[in-house]
Amino acid sequence: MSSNLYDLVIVGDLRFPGGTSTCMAQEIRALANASYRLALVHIPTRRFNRNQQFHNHLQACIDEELCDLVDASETPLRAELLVLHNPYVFTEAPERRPQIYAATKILVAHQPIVDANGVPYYDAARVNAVCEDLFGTGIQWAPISAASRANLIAANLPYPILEEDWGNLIELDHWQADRSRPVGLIPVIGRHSRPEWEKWPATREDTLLVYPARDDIDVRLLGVAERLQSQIGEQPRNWRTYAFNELDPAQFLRSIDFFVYYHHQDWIEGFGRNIAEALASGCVVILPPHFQSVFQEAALYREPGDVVPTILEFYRDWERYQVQSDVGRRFITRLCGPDAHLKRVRRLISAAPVHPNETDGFASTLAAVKPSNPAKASIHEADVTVVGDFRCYGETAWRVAHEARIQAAAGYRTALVHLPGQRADVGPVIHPAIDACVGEGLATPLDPASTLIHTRLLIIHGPESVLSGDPQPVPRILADKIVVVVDQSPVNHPPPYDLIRKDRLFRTHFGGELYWAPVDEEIRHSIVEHNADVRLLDSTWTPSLALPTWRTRPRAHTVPIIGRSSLAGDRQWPDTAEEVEQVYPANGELVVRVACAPALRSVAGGPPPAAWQLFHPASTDQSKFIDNLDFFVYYAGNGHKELPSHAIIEAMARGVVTILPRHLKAQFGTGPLYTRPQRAIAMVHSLFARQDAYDDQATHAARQARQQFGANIHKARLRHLIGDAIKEPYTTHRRRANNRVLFVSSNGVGLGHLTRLLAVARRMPEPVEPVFATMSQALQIVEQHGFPAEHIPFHAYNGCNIADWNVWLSKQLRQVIDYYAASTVVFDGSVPYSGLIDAVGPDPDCRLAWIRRGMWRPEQANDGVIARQQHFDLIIEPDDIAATQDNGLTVENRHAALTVAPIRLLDEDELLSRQDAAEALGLDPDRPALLIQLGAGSNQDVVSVTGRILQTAAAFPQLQPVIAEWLMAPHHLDLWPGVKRLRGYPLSRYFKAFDFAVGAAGYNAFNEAISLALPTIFVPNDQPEMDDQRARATHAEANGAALCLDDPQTTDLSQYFEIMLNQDVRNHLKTNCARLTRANGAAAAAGAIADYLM
Amino acid sequence: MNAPARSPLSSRIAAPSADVRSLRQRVESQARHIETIEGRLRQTMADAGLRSETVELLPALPRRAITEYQQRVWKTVAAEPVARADQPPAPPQTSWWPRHDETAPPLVPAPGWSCYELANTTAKVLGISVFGLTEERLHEVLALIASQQRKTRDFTPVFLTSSTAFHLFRHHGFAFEYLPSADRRQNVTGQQDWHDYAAHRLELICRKWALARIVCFGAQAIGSW
Repeated sequence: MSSNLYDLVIVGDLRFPGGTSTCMAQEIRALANASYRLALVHIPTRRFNRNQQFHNHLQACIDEELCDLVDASETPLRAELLVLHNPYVFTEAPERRPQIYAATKILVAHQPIVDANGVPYYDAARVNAVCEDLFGTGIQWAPISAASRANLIAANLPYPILEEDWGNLIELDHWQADRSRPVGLIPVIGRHSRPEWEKWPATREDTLLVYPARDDIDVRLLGVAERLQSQIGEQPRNWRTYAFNELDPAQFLRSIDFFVYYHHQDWIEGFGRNIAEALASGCVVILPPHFQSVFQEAALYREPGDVVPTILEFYRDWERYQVQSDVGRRFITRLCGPDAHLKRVRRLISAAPVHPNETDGFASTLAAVKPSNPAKASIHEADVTVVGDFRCYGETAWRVAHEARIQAAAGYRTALVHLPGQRADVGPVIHPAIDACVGEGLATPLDPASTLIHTRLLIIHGPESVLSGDPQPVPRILADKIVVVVDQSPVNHPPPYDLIRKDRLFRTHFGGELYWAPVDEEIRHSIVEHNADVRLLDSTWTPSLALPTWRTRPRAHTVPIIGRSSLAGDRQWPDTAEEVEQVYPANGELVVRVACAPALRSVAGGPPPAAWQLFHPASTDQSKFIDNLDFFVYYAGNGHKELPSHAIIEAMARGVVTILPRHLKAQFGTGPLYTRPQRAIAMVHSLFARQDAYDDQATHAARQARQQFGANIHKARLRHLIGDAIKEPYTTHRRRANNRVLFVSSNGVGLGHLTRLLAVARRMPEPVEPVFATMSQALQIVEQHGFPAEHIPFHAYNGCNIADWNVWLSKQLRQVIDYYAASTVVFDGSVPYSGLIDAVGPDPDCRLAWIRRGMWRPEQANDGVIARQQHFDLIIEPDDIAATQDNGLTVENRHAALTVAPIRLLDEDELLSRQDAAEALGLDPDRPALLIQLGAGSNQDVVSVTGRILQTAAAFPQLQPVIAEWLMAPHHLDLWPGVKRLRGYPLSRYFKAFDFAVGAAGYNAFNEAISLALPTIFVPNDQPEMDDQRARATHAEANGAALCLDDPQTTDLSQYFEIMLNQDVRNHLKTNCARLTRANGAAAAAGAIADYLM
Repeated sequence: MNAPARSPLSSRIAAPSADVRSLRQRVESQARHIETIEGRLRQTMADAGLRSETVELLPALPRRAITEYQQRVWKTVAAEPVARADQPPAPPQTSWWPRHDETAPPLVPAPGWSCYELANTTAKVLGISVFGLTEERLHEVLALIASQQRKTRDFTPVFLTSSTAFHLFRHHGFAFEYLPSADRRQNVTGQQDWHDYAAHRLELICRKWALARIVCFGAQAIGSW
């Protein structure tokens, strides 16, 4: 006999009058709409009269052909999933045996196994045995709610229990009702249910406690039978009663405001479909507390005596009623909407084997559904949950970020719930300091709309914005204790808010004891004065910062850097332009830096001075910004309220000498220096000139900051509020080991950038591990030195849009920095790319250094390039032998840089002797040799010049010319047969094999040739994008250390060769080279990187 | 692979003017001309036995880590250690946790000299995986791709390579992305498994160039190198 194949087979007694049949019908509609093939199988039980009709909802499904009604005793069925409804149906074997084969079999436990006294409703073992006999082993019992699950577990059910609840489906649109206003002039409460005794309170007194006889409340009851009427006796005047099915329940629910459902104490409600319907209808639902595990935040849970006061309280505050109504609707949409059921079925069907095999299928399915702790599967447990608008720029963001770090370090599990409010002074994204906590795994962000959170402590920031209505979601949080942090007086707050109303609202929605926590005494007084009723925390909520170890640091710059970080707004600044200039001068005597969000547009009524260096918190980490200051100087206008307290404390803690007006001493103690604004800059100059005095003051401030505002403050208040952390504290370690340096070189015309980086990298002190990311196509020389290297394709090679390329550069660099855990990035290039700055700037664990050679051409428009120096933590400028000829922009910016001697790859002791070098190159050491190294030829014609040089050399038969072939040269054509070509790196290693050279005057070639005393005829590359090579070459010639060709295409080279072949001349040149030469600065640069940044 | 669709003529890619088209055609023509002359020159010199001697010297230079380096003794103020999670989860990027994530249109790779008319057009971009190929074999594959491109003129290749012989790609003017082979990355281990990192790099490369698909040459599949 062939079998019919379906996706699902649904089995039950189709005559059940109540929730079971309604539930089956809803599931059929949802599944049919999703195009599942469904079979419906009726198994008649003795419970119902043989002539009783199918439930009308199920009959409608059959009539509408949403499913096939199949007699499975006649027609065998095969399906992915078999769903058996209600254990009652299977308490006895049916008269006609159905033939159904399915991979996954679910028995939906609509009824509990035992009642509240432990008396069984049915024999679960018998039910399971009947099901297994009919459908095979591996039946999974599916509870319909958390209470139903608890009942199965309490009954020690020895069979598999499905990991998720089989929630009832509700057709939400059918129950929709308008709750914008009350039904009538007085509250209307009611309920609907079956009329059986167990569905009602046990006694008259119990009944009247929750359905009171009083004139100021209307009571409407649907499903009343004679028994209840006889129990109550004379019906109270304010009651209206209806028999079961007398009214359509949806219509009935639209006629009441509050759904109040209390039943017999012996009865255990498996789910409470009528409650779900009331929630879908938008009623505010009041239930006994044992329902909380099922309906969570959707209902209010009250003892019977508290029902009436709650009704009156909510009726009087209709806004609050609507919030609660909305919470209930959202909850039931999630729990009972069709999507939840379809996902459940999809999961079960996808878990089924492709070719169902009875035994194997059961084994795999059973293994998949063993629950570990099914009752708690859907609740996120946290020690501290923080709620607020995390896009804010001000103090709140820093408070949240620092406290999250402290909580993590102490072992408290932190959840973050972002509730976007209506404030205008917020950014578009989560504040980077808070986002960093998430990125580092210190706190867990949770979706307010879908995650149910149980927390030991709820901290609310910005109370005016929380639970303020659409579009903000209503968070699902159950709290043991609540602290509301108040950083502005509710009275002066724009706009003012009703603190008492917020107090009630928070307690209603989040539960738990609630305390208001002002951040200072002024706000405390304001609250006490205006709102005596609310409960205040004893101590103020002082800033408490997670502060790292600190040490005094060297300075790489020679002009003091002062700065501040604050919110935007004129009141944050001194009132007049003169006062601003007094404290933050723009005359060049010092560097002024300002970190400000939103972007600073106005200061004392005018634009900020152009000389100031402006930063935005999204692009620069605040701790790095502060670290790079010498002085944090904060003066504001009269009447100013919001201080950048966290920034001030962080500056003190990081050893940045802090200068403040005197009136702030009470708040910040003895750590900062206090003076009048007129004296602030004199104080800066005085301390900057005395390093020891500066270090003493910095050390004192760092200690004071830790004592007054350290992590212990927040830990102590947490212990006071919720006790110790349950979890062990986090393993404390740095995310990055502080020994990886990423060297990034741009793509120059030659190898200068890469060579300088290699020179520094190979001298980094142990245990530093250099890693490279280079845009140069000569990457192989990095690997030749044993360093790992990544390649970044350069925009010019591909002709890319530069702005777009920078975005992709930033993304790739972030990947590389994260993978290699680099704590420092050292860049060598003429232009610091915005992608580089964007990748490193916001990263608190990664510092950025720039090795910047000088000799920029004065005519190049490089103002924008040099302005980017403000983003570097360290700038190293390697000196140039021709530095006296330097007229470029770096000269006037040298105050910002640390100068080291010229950087060379090799020290003199690494050069081969003449004998060894000549042997390696195959040259005769007794004959003169010429090295031709004109560069890559990327931007000039080196071929014709080389041709002229070789033509000239041919006139000197003893001379051995060697052409240095550039590793990056575009073509490798063999244009000069018989001439030796040298492909190698570094060429300077073989310098002693040569008597003289003809070469370019780039930084490396020039400084190497002079420092290593190789007599050279320089051929400067005069292309406008190059550095000032001619200045170098003429400087060397003027000092008798080299020759310089004016025009290699026309000059008679033979004269130059004759000069160079004269030993006396060469000796003279070498002597002068020795006079000009400087020590190799590579080691100093390496030491500085380690010393300043690591 | 979920590469973003390359939108036709996006704001970054304007339709070229007649002059620009003409110049690009000229570049193509010149590239072919140079190729021919170079080939002829090489052949002539080989026939005449004319060649130079090339010395290749790439010595491994040891590190000279500074031993005299001594950190100054700084005044220090200790604090409690900073907490770090061992393996931070990836931060969410959802509407309920808005994060900064700058986006940019995919880049347009260099089309190669012989089909330079495709520069800055919306021709589809193919990833050509050539991991583990010898230089000789790589040379052949590049010639093959260039030849195919000349025939169809409807794609731009981006080569994915573990070879440092970048001059081969440069010769054709083709775009390439480099990922080091196992023997080249032995010295330093990363913070995560290399294959996970490589998978992320590859995903970034796909988005960056909007690769329509990847064609593999050689035995080493993507992710196995």
